[in-house]
Amino acid sequence: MSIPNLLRTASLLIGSFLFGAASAQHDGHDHATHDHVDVVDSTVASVVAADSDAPKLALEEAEHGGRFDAGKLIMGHIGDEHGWHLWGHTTLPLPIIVYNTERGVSIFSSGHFDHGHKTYGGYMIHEGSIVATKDADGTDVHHATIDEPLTKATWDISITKNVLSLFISLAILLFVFINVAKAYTRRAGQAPTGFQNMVEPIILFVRDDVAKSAIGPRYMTFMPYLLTAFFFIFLNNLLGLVPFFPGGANLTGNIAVTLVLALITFIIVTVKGNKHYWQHILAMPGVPGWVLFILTPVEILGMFLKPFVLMIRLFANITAGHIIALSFFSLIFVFGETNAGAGYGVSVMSLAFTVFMTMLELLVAFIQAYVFTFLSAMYIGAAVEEPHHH
Amino acid sequence: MSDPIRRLPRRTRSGYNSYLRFTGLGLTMVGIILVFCFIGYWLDRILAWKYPVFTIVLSLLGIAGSMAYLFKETGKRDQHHFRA
Repeated sequence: MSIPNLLRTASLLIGSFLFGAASAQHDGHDHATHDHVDVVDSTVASVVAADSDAPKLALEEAEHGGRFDAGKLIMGHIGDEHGWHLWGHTTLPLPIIVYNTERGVSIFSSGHFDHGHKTYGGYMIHEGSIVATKDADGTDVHHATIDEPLTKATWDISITKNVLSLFISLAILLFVFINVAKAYTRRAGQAPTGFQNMVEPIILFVRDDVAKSAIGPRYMTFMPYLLTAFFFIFLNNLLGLVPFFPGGANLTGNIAVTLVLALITFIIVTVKGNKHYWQHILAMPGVPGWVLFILTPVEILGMFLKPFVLMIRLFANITAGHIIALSFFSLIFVFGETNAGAGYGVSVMSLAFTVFMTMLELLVAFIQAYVFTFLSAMYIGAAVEEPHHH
Repeated sequence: MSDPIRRLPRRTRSGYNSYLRFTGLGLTMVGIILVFCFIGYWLDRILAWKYPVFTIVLSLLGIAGSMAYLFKETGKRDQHHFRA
C-alpha cells in the first residue's frame, strides 16, 4: 500500500459515502412521495419503509398492553433511523439536514422530534421518513397533518444512523491503513508489527487469490479498489454484528450502499472494458448470425444484471443474517406474551441459537466480502482480458 | 495467521474459485427471463393487440436467451480451463 494507493482508497471511500448518503436519502424521499417506478427503488423503499422508531414502538405497545409486533421490531432494526438507539429510553440524537426548495436548508438535532413523537421546524417523522407539516413546533405527530406538496419539495440529507456508521467505519479504516502504510515505509524490509500483522495476510489473500487469479497479469491497477471494497464490506459486516453502539447499523444490509458498491464495479468494467470485451458482448465471434440475434440482447442485459446480482446478494445475505438474529429474540416476547414461564424457557433456546447464528454470521461476513470482491475481480478480469490465440 | 482457504493445495483452491464463478448465473438467468417477459408485457399493453403475442414470444425468447447465456458462460470457463 503506497501513499498514492492509500489516497485513492480514501477518495473511493469518501465517494462511496457521498453516493450512498445521497441515494439512500433520495430513495427514502421517493418512497415518501410514492412516485418511484423502477425495481431498485421499490426494493429500497420496502427496506426504507421501516418505521424509524419501530423497535421502541413495538416494545412500548407491548408494555402498554398492546400486542408485540415482531415484524415491526425487525424491520425497524434493519432499516435506517434518524437517531441511534443506545439503551432503554436513551437515543443518541443525530443531525437532521433537510433541504426544501421553498424553505431552504434546515439543520437541527433529531432530539427535537422527541423520538418521532413531535413536530419541529415544520417537519416531522412519518414512517421513518421526514415529511413537511405546517403545524406549530411540538405538536403531537398524531394530530399533525402532512403537507403533501411541501413534502414533495423536501430532500432529506440527514446524518442518519447508517451515515454515521459509515463515518465510523471510514475513521477505523483510515486509522488502520494510514498506520499500516506508515509502518511499511518506516520498517521497510523488516518483519511486520501491530496492525500490519492483522491486515497483511488479508491483503496478500486479496492479491493472490482474488486479483491475480481472476484478473491476471494486469491485476495491480485494480488492487486499490478490490482492497477497499473488501475491507469496507468486511468491516461493516462485522460492525453490523456488534449489537451495541458503534455497531449494529446494518450498513452492508442497506441496498443503497450495496448499489453504490456494485455501481463502482459496473463503472470500472464499462470504462476499462477493451475491444475484446465489447466484441464478445455485441457480436460473439464464432457464433452463427441467428443465435447472435438473441445472444447480443442477452449479453447486453447480462452487463447490467451482473452488478445487479452483486448488489442483491450482499444486501440479501447481510439482511437475512440480521433478520434471523432478531427473529430469535422476538420469539422470546411472542412466547412471553402467552405465558411468562414460556418466555423464560424459550429465551434459553433463543440465546443458544442466536450465539450459533452469530458464529455463522462471522463466517458469512468474511465470505460475502470475499465473494463480492472475487466476483468484481472476475467481471473486471473478463473486461481487461487480452485475446489469446492458440 | 493463514486463513483456511490459503492452506488448501492450489488445485483445490482454483476449484473453489471456479464454483464461485457460477454463483450469479442462476439469478442472472432468472433476470434475463423476467426482463424479456416485462418488455413483452409492456409492448402488449402499449400496442393492445387482440392477442398478447409479445408477452408469449418474448418470454419464450427470454428462456432461449438464458439458455444461450448459460452455454456461453459455462463454455468460457472450459476455455480458461484448457489455457491454464
